[in-house]
Amino acid sequence: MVQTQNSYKNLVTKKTDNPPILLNCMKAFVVGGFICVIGQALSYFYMYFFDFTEKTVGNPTVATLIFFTMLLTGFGFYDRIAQFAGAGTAVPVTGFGNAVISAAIEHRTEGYVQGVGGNMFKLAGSVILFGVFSAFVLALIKTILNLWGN
Amino acid sequence: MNKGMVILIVSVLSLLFACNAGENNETQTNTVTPINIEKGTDDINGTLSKQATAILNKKNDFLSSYKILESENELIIAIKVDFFQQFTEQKIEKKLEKELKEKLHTKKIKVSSDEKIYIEISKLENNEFTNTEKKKKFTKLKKLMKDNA
Repeated sequence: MVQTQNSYKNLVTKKTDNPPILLNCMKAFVVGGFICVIGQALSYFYMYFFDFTEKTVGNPTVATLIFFTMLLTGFGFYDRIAQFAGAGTAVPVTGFGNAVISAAIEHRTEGYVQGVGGNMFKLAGSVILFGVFSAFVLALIKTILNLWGN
Repeated sequence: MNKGMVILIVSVLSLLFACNAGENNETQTNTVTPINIEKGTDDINGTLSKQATAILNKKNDFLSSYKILESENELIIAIKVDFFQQFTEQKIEKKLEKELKEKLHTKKIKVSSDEKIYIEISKLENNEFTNTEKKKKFTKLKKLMKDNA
């Protein structure tokens, strides 16, 4: 790295405020936890009033959470919550809904096919990819452990 | 003390209290009254469900509560395990079912740790349902237990 780059980096480090990491973690924990509480309440709602078991209730719960996140993103409320809570809103499944819709809104001026259709999964695609890949790795580990156990 | 530290302490304390809240439920299993669709809840002496209750009451160390529904010598048992046993609840479910089948000499016993089954049997505890409705529910529960995601 050149001398000027180094000195510029030092200057930036000196002038930048330290981010309140602990406070941000707490905010993410509380808001993320609250989203999970809503998810749990929805699960109980579907189990109590409809014929969903613990095994099948995940589907309507996730669908409902994603649907409401998409609406909130469309109306611009989710961004405000995300600015406050950070990872707390990105880690739960609501972050997926937000990633899909925000990319769609961003590219709507480019047309429905090449704009919305082509870019809708620009952000969410990585979520799907890593989700599928980690599921594959976990399934592999489970299979090996099962074979080993037997 | 700064603001972040206060939030951290409050969060840790609330977590600890939440973990301890569910531990004091050992006596809950002793108050269970099984439901026999044909005989009601009062006349259960000598029935299969009464015998199952006697066995399940001894499982206080990992069972926090359970519900039993009986119809024509067939049992559906919904169990709730202790908080820290929840990761192994499916193993417990299978183990209990095997043990009950061996001790009660019948194959018509189904044990489930599914919350839905527990909720449905709890609904039947209110005597608002007729026997026909209860039998329908019994059949529905058997179908639900086979349901997979």
